[in-house]
Amino acid sequence: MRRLKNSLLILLVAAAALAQTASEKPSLDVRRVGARLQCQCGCKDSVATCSMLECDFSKPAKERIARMQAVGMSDQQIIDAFVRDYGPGVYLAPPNAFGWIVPYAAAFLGLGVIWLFIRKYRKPQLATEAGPMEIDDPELAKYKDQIEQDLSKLE
Amino acid sequence: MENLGSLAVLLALCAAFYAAAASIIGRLKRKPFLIVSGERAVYCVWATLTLGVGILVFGLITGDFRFSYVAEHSNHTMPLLYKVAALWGGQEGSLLFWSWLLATYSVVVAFTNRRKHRDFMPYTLGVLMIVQTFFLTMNNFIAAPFNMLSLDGVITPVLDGNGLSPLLQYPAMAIHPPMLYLGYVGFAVPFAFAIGSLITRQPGDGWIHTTRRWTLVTWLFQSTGIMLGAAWAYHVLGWGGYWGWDPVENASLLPWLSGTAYLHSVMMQEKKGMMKVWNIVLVSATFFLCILGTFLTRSGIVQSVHAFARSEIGKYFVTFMAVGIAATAYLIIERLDYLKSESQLESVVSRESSFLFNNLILLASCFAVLWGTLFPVISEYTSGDKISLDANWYNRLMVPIGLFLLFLTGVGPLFAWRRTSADSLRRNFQWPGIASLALVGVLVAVGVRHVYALISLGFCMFVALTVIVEFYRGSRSIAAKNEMNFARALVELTHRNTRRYGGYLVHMGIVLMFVGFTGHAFNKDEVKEMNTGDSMRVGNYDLRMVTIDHGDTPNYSWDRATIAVSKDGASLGNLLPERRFYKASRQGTSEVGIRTRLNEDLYLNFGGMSDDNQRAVIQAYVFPLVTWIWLGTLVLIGGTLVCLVPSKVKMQYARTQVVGMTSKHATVEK
Amino acid sequence: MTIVIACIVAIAVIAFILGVRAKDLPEPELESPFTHLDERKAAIYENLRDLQFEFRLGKLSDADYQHTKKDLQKELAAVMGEVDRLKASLGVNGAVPAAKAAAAPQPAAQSRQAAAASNGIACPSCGARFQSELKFCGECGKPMRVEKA
Repeated sequence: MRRLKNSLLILLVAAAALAQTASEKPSLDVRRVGARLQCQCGCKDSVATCSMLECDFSKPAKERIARMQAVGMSDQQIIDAFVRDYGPGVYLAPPNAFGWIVPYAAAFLGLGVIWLFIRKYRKPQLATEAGPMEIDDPELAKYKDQIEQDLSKLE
Repeated sequence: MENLGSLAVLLALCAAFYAAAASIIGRLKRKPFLIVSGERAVYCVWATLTLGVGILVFGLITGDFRFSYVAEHSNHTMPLLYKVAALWGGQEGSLLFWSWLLATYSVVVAFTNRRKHRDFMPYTLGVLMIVQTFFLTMNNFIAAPFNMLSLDGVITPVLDGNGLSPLLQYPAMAIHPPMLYLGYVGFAVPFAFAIGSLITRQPGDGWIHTTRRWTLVTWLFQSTGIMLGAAWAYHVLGWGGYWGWDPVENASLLPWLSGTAYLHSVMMQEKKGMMKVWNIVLVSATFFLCILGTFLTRSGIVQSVHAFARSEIGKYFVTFMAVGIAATAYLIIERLDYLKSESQLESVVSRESSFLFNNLILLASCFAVLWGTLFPVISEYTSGDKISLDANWYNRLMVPIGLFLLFLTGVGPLFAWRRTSADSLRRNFQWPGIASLALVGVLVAVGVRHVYALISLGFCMFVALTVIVEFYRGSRSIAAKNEMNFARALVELTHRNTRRYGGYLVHMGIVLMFVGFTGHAFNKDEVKEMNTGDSMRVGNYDLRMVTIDHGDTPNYSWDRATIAVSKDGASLGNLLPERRFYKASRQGTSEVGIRTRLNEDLYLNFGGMSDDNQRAVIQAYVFPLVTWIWLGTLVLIGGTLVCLVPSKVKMQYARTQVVGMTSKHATVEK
Repeated sequence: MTIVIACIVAIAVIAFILGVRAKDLPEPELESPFTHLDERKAAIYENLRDLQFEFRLGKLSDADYQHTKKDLQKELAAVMGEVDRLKASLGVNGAVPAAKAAAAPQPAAQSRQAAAASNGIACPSCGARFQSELKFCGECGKPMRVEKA
């Protein structure tokens, strides 16, 4: 039992050592949690997206997240730990349902507009049988020669 | 010097205000002298602004560190290119540059139309000059570029400036902002023409014909600017991404999306006289999105990599946009009768409908991006909840939309105008459809299981085939008819209708870009701390650290790794990722080592030194198909340029002869 | 020194803006009142040409082709009819459709003099009539001078 505990500890230390580099290239897991935490360096970005190199908040924060994940803490536990240390202002909520619904609602609204547009501008369907060119329009009859003449000059 | 600069910008403001007032009043009261005088004021705006910009650039080049702008954005050690680029590196300079570009466009508009469209040109110039007046107000009173550094009321220069942000000291980045600005500013012109012709109720679609090339050129600048930004992010930021859904990236994408929608829907008006209201709405929306883009970049309301400048100009932009949008909306509603559609939809299965869906998708994506950009701001103001949207949110929303758009790119041109019967559809869909299904089958057989990737590559195949078939059929027909060889027929075909075939080329470019985007699904990455002699493996590549060097230049200090790359035992040479630390701004940058091939890029970034300062942190990535994005961009640019070439049309349709008309109207070269 | 340059710049700007002389007024390019109809006609001809080409390439079924062609020709006829009606209302050249290029100037000048003699000068753009000679039409604002034939 004791040996197991020891080896577990060694494993944890090794994981923590690996996590040293986490700030340089945050893994997807770190980014996921980091996106929920507001960077405190003065930018308005999250810990995951703060673009400041050598940032004095986001860099250690990312390392801390990685260490906490290495010892198996859940996302919520990590976030709670940060909120405990830096106050509730550090938490960034994920987009709520509103954020999702509006774009889709807009798309469906657009579909509705198209449907209305088509209904309004759809030409009433007459006899669809086209057949050979027959002149049923007095105006067309009047200008037919002119059109034929111009058409022959096309190309 | 500085006083002259300030005076020039102030004079420009007065001239712009006068030009707007004189043009509009002159037109209302029909005073030709006033109109001409207003037109001359437009030239004066440009001349005085050029003087102002010239003085600022001169200060930047010669390193006149009495100017606070020069001290903040330039220093002695920067190369000349970046000294000039510092003009658009900061807020004051970039707004001045914006104004100057608008003045330049206005002068070109005034000059090329000095004898044309006398009826609505005063309004067009009036609109341009109102926008100009707004920006010049900013230049004069909110973000003055000619402030001096002073100590106890005495002008005191500093010894050396901060220098341009080193992230921006990269060639593509030096021209990325001007390209985007040319795109942003350019949409003011079609907008002004649309408003001018709306006010005067011009018969026909004159404003569309006149601004067709403007719009295309502007769109080209925007596309180029966006892609330069993507290339910059890929090569400079060191994490290998080309698009991060950063608010400012979004800001440049918004007018591009609505502008693309406009370019398509305007065809409905040209061909059939439909969608007139919609086109005016679109061109106005695009213009205001351009203003919004400038606002987002310059106000710092949503922070990001790009918001180098932060200040309080936000409320001025918001007021200007609110007034502008209200006025435009009023004008459109007031003149709805004039914008009545001339014809109807013959059938639901037609090119017209496909354009409707194209517009829906483009605008839906535009709205989604806008929503994502502004939602955190809105949410914080309304409920106080701080929210963050990560790239995942956008990807989940935009990938399906993008795929649907890709699908429409292929399908749209297969529908005929007015009506398309099932028979016609079968002729066009059969072979491309079968071929792309076959491609998907093969991909599944070789083990690709990523659903979006399969759909995307299937659609890419479909669109590419339809475009190729279009060119092939057309050329073969022309070759047979005129007895010329196939290559010449291909050129002849394109030359006969440059807009259509140039458009197909643009579609082809989009396809290539989507192939590149699809590669994102197969990215691989590894990170390791390496000492000399250590090795690591990423994808099929074996990397071995040869040396780690350190050095120093006046501008920056650097660490560089020399890494030998081999694949399956065969040596592929060395890559040299480097990390720089710029002294003036105390900022670090990455010079990544990239091995570019058509199938994949090997991308090495020097992440930094390990804590004991002995080993280098090397981030190694394999990015499949990324090069296709840049190739696609080139094809897209080429296609747009083809669109700009006048079509060779030997069309002698009879122009109506009127009293005293010059005979130049008889033959119209299109 | 700076003050001198500043003054020169300011004066030059003001002088250039305000010093508009009569001969500086631009000679406006003549615009035909038929422009928009001609453009419409050109667009339809182009549609017809594209239609023919696509049919020849086999992209269209025969029925679609015939049907759409007929629609287009009808629209063309409607535009031509409108041209003639506009011509009749302006009293230009009678109602002869589409005279060929060289035909215009001579009879045009005569008809204009005739018009001037009868009831003032007609605006070539909108047809409004005025007793005295004007540079620009008081109704539509377009140029009245048309001698640049």
